[in-house]
Amino acid sequence: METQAEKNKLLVKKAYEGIWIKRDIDQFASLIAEDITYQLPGIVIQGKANYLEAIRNYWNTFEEAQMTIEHQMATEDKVYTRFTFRGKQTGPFRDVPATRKIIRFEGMDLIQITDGKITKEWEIFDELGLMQQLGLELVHKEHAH
Amino acid sequence: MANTMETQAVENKKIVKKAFEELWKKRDIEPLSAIISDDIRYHAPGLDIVGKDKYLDYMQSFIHAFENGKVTIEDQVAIEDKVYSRYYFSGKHTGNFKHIPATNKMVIFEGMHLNLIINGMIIKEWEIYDELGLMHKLGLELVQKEHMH
Repeated sequence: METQAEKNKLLVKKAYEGIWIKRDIDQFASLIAEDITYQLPGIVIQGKANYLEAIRNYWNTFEEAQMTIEHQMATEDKVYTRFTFRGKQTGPFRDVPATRKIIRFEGMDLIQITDGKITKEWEIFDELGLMQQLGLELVHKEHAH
Repeated sequence: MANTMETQAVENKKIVKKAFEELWKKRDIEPLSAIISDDIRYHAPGLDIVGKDKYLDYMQSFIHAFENGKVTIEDQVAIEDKVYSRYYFSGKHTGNFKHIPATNKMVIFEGMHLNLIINGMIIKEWEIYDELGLMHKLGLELVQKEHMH
């Protein structure tokens, strides 16, 4: 018999697959709660409709995407994932127009699952590394202009 | 067997929590030093550190840079020899950090790490934190390379 932890791991894998391989918004939508909270550093997205909108924006930004699960740990209600994302930037990201560059970055993700639905997600990814790959660099403000 | 593994997971959570919270409470590298394996491997995006001395130097550079620094572990999950933690860090930037002189700004940023622990010693750590957010707070910004000059 599958434990709840194993089911949760599978659910997260299916969610990533729905987003990045199948690009099937309905499959993905069926896995998330109406009142989901998705939190990235400096960004909080509340509610299923807003979350799905964010996913569609990612689709517009990255093509040929690959989400590699490097490691995963699950309990009865939580799944931590360490991942590597690869893709081609074919649409705007933040203020950066499409570069058509192939990018690769690492991240970690904590997903909370209640009654078979994703209710909360905290994600941190290497945004600095991504921006550097897109041709930006960090400078002191006084030197920027 | 299941009980032993559960106990191990609970112990490992404590080890990680103590290591990072105490490090900042006491501003002392010694308690952390006692549980870091000589051949520790640390990985963060763009940074690989091998060996205890280099690892402790890196941690020390944070202690020097942030006064009243504090790590708060918000969530932890452990199974057998691995511990995931989600934390936030707050502190005042009072010393040189990655070539940025003290700004005296209060910073707060989020991070997550995964620690691998064998016989009570941390032998591997993967970390990611909001480095871009931290850099923004310290007065840096992202610009297109070709617009620089």
